Amino acid sequence: MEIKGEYQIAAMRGVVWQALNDPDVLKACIPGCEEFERAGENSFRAKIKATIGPVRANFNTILSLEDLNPPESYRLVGESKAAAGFGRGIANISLVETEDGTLLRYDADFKVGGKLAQVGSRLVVGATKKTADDFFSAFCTSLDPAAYRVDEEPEAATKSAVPKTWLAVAAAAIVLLIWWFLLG
Amino acid sequence: MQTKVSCTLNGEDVSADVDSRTLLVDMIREQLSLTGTHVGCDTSQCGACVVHVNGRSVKSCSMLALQAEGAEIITIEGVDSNGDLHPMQAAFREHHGLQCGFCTPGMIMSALDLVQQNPDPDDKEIREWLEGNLCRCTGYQNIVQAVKAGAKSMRAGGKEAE
Amino acid sequence: MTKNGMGASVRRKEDYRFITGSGQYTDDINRPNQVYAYIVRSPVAHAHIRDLDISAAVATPGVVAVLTGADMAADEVGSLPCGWGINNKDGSPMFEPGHPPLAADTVHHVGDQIAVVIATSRAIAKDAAELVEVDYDELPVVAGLEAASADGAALVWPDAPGNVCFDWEIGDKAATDAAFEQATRVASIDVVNNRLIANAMEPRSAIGEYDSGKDEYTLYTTSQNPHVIRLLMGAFVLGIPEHKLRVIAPDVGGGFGSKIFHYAEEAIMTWASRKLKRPVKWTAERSESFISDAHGRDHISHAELAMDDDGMFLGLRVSTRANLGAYLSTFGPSVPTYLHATLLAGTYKTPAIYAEVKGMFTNTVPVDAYRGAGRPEASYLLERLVDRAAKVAGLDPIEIRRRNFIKPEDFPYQTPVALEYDTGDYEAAVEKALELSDYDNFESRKNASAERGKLRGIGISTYIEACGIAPSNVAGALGARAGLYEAGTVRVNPTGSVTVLTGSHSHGQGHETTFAQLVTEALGVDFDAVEIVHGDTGKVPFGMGTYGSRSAAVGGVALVNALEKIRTKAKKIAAHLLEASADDVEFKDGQLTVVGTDRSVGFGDVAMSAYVPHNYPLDELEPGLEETAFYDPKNFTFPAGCHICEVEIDPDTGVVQVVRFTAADDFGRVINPMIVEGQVHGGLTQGIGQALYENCVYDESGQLLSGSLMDYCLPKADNVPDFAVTTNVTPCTHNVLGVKGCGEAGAIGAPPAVINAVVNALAEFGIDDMPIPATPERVWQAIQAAK
Repeated sequence: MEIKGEYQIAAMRGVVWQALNDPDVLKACIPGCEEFERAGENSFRAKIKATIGPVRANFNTILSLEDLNPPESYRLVGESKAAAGFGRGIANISLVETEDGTLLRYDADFKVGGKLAQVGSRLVVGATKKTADDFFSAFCTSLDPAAYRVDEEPEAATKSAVPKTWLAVAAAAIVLLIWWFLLG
Repeated sequence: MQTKVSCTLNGEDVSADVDSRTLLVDMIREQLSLTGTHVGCDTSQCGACVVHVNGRSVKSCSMLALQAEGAEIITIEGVDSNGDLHPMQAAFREHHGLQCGFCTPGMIMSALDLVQQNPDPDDKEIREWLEGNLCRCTGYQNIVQAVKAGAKSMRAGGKEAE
Repeated sequence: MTKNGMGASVRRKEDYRFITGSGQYTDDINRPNQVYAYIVRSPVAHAHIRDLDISAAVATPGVVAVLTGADMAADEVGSLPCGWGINNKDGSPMFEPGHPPLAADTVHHVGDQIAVVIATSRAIAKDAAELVEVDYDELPVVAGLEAASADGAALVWPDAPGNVCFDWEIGDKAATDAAFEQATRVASIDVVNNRLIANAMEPRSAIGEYDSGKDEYTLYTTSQNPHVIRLLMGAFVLGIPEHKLRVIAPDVGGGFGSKIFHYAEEAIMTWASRKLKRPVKWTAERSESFISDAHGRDHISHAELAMDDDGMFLGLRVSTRANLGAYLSTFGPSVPTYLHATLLAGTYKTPAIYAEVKGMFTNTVPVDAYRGAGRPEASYLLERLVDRAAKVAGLDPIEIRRRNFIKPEDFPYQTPVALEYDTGDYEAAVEKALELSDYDNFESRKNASAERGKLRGIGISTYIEACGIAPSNVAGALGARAGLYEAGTVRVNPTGSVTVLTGSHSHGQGHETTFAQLVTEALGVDFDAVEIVHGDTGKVPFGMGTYGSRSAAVGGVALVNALEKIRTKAKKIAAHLLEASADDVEFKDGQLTVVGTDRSVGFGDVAMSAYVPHNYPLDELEPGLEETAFYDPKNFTFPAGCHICEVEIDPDTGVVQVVRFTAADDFGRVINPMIVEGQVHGGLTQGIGQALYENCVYDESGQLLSGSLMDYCLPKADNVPDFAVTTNVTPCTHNVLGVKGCGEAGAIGAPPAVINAVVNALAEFGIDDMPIPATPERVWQAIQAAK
């Protein structure tokens, strides 16, 4: 499953890069993030309690940064585990200098396993897009209250009453987000 | 943390201490020991757990026990009167509307709500109504016949739907 | 006919408890001091377990124990056994991997058991299970037949090269090749038989209980055959002798094959109950059932049919790959071999047949019998191929079948693939089905559909199945590791009521009614005075259980034989009471009468006299009136029939609706027509489910994508029509009841009839193939591609 997005942020690229590497900023932008710590020079460990409606899961996440090319790009490789299953994926993130500041681009490829795959793999993409969007808007607005998403959508995935099983999936998707902000 | 829930179950006042996450069906089966209401899935598809809450059919796996505070709940055990089968129950037997019997309580509870709203349903209406009740044994044909016959018997003065 | 005897649509005895909610299914049972188990299962399809950390789970308040494969190994718990061995073409035995109830160091499919968390409540056990930390060293995965057979495919088992469990054959290859050389026309087909999940409405459940005072175990389980579970688990897994192990299968909410097998959880609960000295209960959640109940079907086949100019079949060649999953389930290897390839003759007089079957391992849930078990796969392949052959030969689909049918005068008929059919009349079934389906007026219905913008198609199938499994010596020669007889005990109580103990298990089939009808018929006792006891090894002497439509044909016959012993003894007692010769006593409608006189005694008085033997031939007869019979059938039974399906397709959406369905089946003599019709309805619905709705899908990494009832589509009430069903009776020639079995027929005959109808409806687009299930997307895509 692939998802991608672009955000325009009115901040210097170096500032954005730094924020993406600041555990405190990231932790603040991840819903339910209880712990976020550096595990090595280019890796992080996080614990996230994702609670949506009646579904709650604790995800242990490990992220590592590869192909670092500051302040332009890097690759984030992550894996999240919980009793409800696992998610793993790769996200490519790039920062492009623009007239108005910085354009943040991400494209991620991920997959899920265990109960997450069993009960809702086809729902994960939509839910993950929403969560990704939530994270990046929180991240971007923390740097620039006027930051906005450049590429169109998101439509359907975000609205409506979500059945309970979807919620578990959405919870998992939150975990996936972690990778992205971990980039920082 | 446990919370006390009080409600009426088949006409009797009952109460149980439940977790905030306890589902109504688990309270009925585990705490209140009425095992006629069954659990056939964990995604609210199968309908084996249908009971009546305040007069309407509800999948009791999709409702928290706490939400039943003060409610009137009827389960399959409360459908007959002093051992006399309800006409809908009798119709299920007469028309062979059950085989293994696992989905049957939910089917009957669901059918009773249908007849309450539509006293003379045709085949198509019955089949559409029962979409949320899965049966793996009967192929539904005899269930449809049973519901039709049960409705007819109820119109003819059989016991009102619960 | 006795009022409630053979042939009467008696209403069911068992219904009262089910319609009032007072049935007792396994999960309804709670034992004193019981604790609850939750199983930690693998979320990955293939991996070494690098590390297993249970410390946090163990430390959780309310947790009683967390047990792992290492604990099982320490207790020398055995491997879950496979009950049927298959030999390769060269005579060597198949590869049999070990199957520990809790994985030792490697997991082989998503859902594989790793540990069991036992706590004072279900919720605590489940919460604590989330704290079990497993570190996996992942291995390459083969998640389906194509991946498993690819060059250089990763191996599920290092000792099974090519992922082959067995490479087996049946039939005369040379004769079949020769037939193809003579042929002037050849039809061929490639078919996938979709993988299915039985999804009985009651999820599996097990309660283990240990009595330390008596050193006795009791297992309550959702099983179709408690004696088989006692045998397999006691002898092979836990080393408990039969007299110390009682297995109870109480009310069971449907089985369809999936509850035949001995599952890990049964052994885990029984074993844990001894370790903890407390009853341990486990009940599957539905999403757990999806990854732990044995699946069904999953074949890929290529088949070719050689014909002459007249469309007469000369030879059939079939090559099948069958997915067995990661481990061998109890009867897994028998399904694609002896229950599949031996049925490839179908209803036709094809003189030469050769079939080869490769059983293959994949990193998926084990595959075993599901309603029909091998026979639906054979029937689907053959009946799709025959429809194609009709096109090749330029014949009507019905005409080509008629030409090639085994005729009534050909019986007994020896097929080229091992079976000897005893009787049947296939042409008569077709005639009945054609009439009942109003076949001749199909064109006008098709035109009416067209006016509404719908495509209408009609499809036919004829099928045969081998049921009443099986003569033990034959089954044994073919690899069965158990006998396949059945036992029945008739206990006439002193006041004349009757208790029957049968080894057949009822989980929806209605044995408590049909078997009581047999008793009423034989002894004339009141229907309500008969009680049928089943499902408890502590009460029933022995039994092999219920599967393969064998209950009436094997268990029913055992019962009838025991009843005959009762009748014989009753006549002797009556002869004494009436001062006549036993040969002169007639036993009819519950009265024993000296022929030609008005001297008679009621059966109740005979029973009383047997238990209060004051006036009794004690020097010739034992007191009491109880008899047991074991019956081992002489042959399989061969139910057969003709199904005709009509579908309507919406070309804009691809949605297929079955609008008419007709079944004319030959089940031999029928004990209770109402129950038989119900069995047919249910079987047809599962067959339509396979054809249009149900499909088990794994992704390439072995994750089950159709893992809930949201994604695995069971037929719902408005997905199926009212069925028109009738029977065409040719009594079975080798059992006293003349019965053949009816439980699986619908699931065998329906899928090819449905797909043949879909293909027929799409013929105007030049479409002559359709993968199964024919989902709206596939149908729509096929229409778009053809446009």
